[in-house]
Amino acid sequence: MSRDPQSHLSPDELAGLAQETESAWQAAGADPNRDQAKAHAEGCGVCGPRLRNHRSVQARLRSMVSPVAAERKRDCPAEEKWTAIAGGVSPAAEAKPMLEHASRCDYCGPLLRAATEDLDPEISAEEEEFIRQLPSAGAEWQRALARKMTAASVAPAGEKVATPGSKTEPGRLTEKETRPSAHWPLAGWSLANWTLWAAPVAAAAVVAVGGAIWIERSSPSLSSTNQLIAQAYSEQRPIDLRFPGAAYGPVRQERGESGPSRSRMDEPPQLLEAEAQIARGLARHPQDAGWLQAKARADLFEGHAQLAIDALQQAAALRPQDASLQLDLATAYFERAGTARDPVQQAADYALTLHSLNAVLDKSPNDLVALFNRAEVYQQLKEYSEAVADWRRYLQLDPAGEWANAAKRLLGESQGGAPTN
Amino acid sequence: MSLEELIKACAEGDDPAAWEEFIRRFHGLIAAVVRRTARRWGSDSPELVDDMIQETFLKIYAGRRRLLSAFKPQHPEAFYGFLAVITANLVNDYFRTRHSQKHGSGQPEASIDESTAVADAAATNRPAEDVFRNLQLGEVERALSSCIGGVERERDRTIFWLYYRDGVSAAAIARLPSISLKVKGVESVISRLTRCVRERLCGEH
Repeated sequence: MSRDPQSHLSPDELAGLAQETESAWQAAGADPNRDQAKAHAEGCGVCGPRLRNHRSVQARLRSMVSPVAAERKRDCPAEEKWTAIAGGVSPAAEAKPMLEHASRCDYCGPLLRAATEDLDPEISAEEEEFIRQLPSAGAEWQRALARKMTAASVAPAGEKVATPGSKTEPGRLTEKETRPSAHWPLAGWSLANWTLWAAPVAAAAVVAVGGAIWIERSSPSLSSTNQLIAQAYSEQRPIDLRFPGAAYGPVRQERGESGPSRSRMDEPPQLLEAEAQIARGLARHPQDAGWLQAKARADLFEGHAQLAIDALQQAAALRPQDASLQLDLATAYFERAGTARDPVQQAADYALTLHSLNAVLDKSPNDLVALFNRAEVYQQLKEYSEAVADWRRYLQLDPAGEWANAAKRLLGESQGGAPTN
Repeated sequence: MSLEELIKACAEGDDPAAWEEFIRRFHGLIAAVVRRTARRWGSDSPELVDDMIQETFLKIYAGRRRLLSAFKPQHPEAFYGFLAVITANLVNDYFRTRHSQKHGSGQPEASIDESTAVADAAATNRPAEDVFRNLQLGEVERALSSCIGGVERERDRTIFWLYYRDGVSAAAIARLPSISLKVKGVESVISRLTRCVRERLCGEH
């Protein structure tokens, strides 16, 4: 039975639409009633604002994930405890107060989250591919290990076992490294003590099966996060320079309105949601260049140019050939230059901006985002002849569309030698 | 061979076929846990992961009587959790030891400390956001308090905050000891409380 297009959203409809993420909203489409409810909300003066209000609150809830590590407090449990809790093998009586603690603690909460992610029994497709390519995934390797272990009968732990086809050769690690007490401090950790409680408790562990229906999994994808940032950029474009992948949007304010003084309540919900995902992504992959880049973009959105530079430099060290990191670094230097009080520092940042953009364009002369950004930088530096050359080149490559319209307008300003607004 | 039979065979004997089956069956789980845990320390090369997988099986074999004999799995997943915890502890211990050795010798380090440097810098540079966040947490806590009740009040509160503040997934929450809910049950608690809190914060109740 189809929904009456004129009727206001029911509480269930409102809750369902409000709780969905933006990406889920866009991806969904199988439920015609849901789509009709959404269509109604978009055109209704009562339900539309109400739904936006609910979605804004939902984004705030999602953004409450602890973004950074907090300081350890005196009553925080030992860090190793969280592994046993996450594995479901701690006694319930011990786990209960610890979970209550974690739910209130910005130091222990992220540790628990990290442990649950590490011990997640579900293996992603990417992980499966990685594991499949390991020498140890081969039947021969496994058979050889089993034979060697049982042949030795009491093979000392830590001693390398030669296995066919393995890159792990006996003796590749030094004797010191492979000695159990040094390489694997398991002796101190005590398997014997561990089993006293682990086995019976693990046997009683409650393990649930089934999939999430509407609650988004907390393992975000980097691409969806970057999409959220791109959407936020297009909706409330915070800076003059472009991010790769972001559609055109008018610059939201005069320079200076962005930055730390701007309230987070003013930020688009997509950005808040992206920041929550970034916190989760970095907790799981703290040295992943992609998540560091996403963090930097969010930092740039909020006017934290220095934090963005720090993250991007770390990411660039991991992926030195990644042109998109150079592009974002250029933007971060440019933004820092805009707030620098020291003229020398400002000049240095502008030089770094152009150096990064030139490096990208040397390799990819037709990179539209780099070309657009360099033209914009030249224009703001009042180097109009260079700006005009870049704008013309840009318009040859991208003659139509909203970015092209912006380029045409800026070309006109450069040709006039001064802004016309 | 059932899981229970396999565990019994491995605990009581040195049958290569049983151990080969054990390795085959649990290689994927152990490899995934090794890789994730090692990655958190900034080092997850295939060679290192393979070394640690082998080391984990060796440790389990060396302690097979103590580890496996006492185990009476009522659910296969309980044994998976058991193995996953062993594996994660081994990997973490390895990196902690290596970290402390490097630290002691004054060598340059690549560790979790470095990986959190950016976050630490953010922490010190964002006091205004911390104040904002604390205000927001307080506001939500007040709304939440008006939404929960009954004997499971504290459990539901814990679930809500583990999900929203700590970022633990519903599936992971369901696996935690003392929660005693399946995934759908956890999702139901989160959904109910979220809806109530949202209505409170929107001023609708």
